[in-house]
Order: sequence, then C-alpha cells, then structure tokens
Amino acid sequence: MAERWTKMVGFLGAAANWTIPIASFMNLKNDPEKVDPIMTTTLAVYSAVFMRWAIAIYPPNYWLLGCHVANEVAQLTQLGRYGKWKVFDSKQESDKQ
Amino acid sequence: MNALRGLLNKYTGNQIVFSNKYATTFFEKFPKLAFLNNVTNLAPMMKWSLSIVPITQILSGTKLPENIDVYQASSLCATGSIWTYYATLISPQNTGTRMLAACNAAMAACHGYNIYRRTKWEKSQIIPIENKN
Repeated sequence: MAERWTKMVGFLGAAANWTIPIASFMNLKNDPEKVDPIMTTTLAVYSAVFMRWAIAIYPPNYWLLGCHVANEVAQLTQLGRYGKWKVFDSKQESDKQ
Repeated sequence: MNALRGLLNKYTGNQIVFSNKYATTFFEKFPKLAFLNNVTNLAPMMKWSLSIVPITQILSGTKLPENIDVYQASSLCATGSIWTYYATLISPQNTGTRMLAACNAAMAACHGYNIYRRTKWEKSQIIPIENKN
C-alpha cells in the first residue's frame, strides 16, 4: 500500500511537471512586454540541461525528455517574442512620442 | 519511437555533456571546471536556479508584483510541493533525498510567496466606489 502511494505521488509529480510548459504556452497570448527575460532564460537553460539529463540516466526517461522539449520550445518562443518587441515595437513607441 | 531511440542512443547512460576535442582541451586546461561537464552536477544546479533567481528578484525588488506571472508561479509552486512530499516517501533517506526535498521546498516557498505578492497587489488595485452623495 505504501509503495502504491509513493508511485501515485511520483506520477502526480510527473504530471505537475507538465503544468510548466502548459503554463508557458498559455502565456503566449500575453503582451510580449510582460515577459520576464531573466526568469524565461533561467527556465530555458534549466530545460536544456534536463533534456540532456533525461537521456543521460539509465533507463532514459523519454516522457521527461518530451516535457522539457515542450518547455524549451515555449520558453524560447517567449524569449523570441520579447526580443522582437524590444527591438522593433518599443522603438516604434518611442518614435511616436 | 525506435528511430528516436537510435538517434539518442549515444547519449543514453552518457553523463558527459560535451565530448568534442575543443571541450576536452578546455577542461584539461581548467580541471576545476570539469565538474560542469557532468550533467548529474549541472542538473541540481539548474534546479536550484529556479529558486535562487526568483529569491534574488524578490530581495532586490527588480520584479514588481504586477509583472509576476501567476500561471508560471502556480505551476512551479505545485511542482515543488509535490516533489517535496515525494522526496520524503522514497527510500533510502540520505543526503541526496534531503537535498531534493530542500531544493523543491525552496522552489515551492519562493513561488508561493510570489503568488501572495501578486494577490495582495491585485486587491490593492480594487478602488472602492466613491460615495458621491
């Protein structure tokens, strides 16, 4: 019984891991200027390292790899949107003033 | 899936991050940095960064409550909470499991505090209806 509970909590933790890329994808609808570049970069580097870690362990954890690939895509997309806004849109805004 | 496994096969069980000649030369020149080339050392450091970065932002005041992302903070807080509890269930209980619990507890705590800051800020934005009688 205790072992089944531990496995269930472990599964719940793995499911919770997926909420990180889901939250990031949900934020793609927000304004680019609200993106925090420091935290986004931290999450991008974190996912890159854990992509490597997921396949470095034996046996490899392909579900964890998929989770961090999804998060990597989400974070890099956010960084791209922020960078584009920083370079182009904010310049236009300052030109308007 | 088998094609993917074949592609990733050279990385399976391989903890060295970079193996090319430039990396080898670099880490021979700077042996004290060689521990960074092992993913089992890098991964916990990156996990801790998910707590250290937001704590630094809280202490320095560079992250204003209105810029806190509730979705992100909630998912990181929930993930940290569950893995903290999980770390108390698994055997053996040693330094590794205690560090796992501490790391995830720190992550849950600082992102939980961010949620609190955001919630408090949102309440302060509610302007009471002025009585114009």
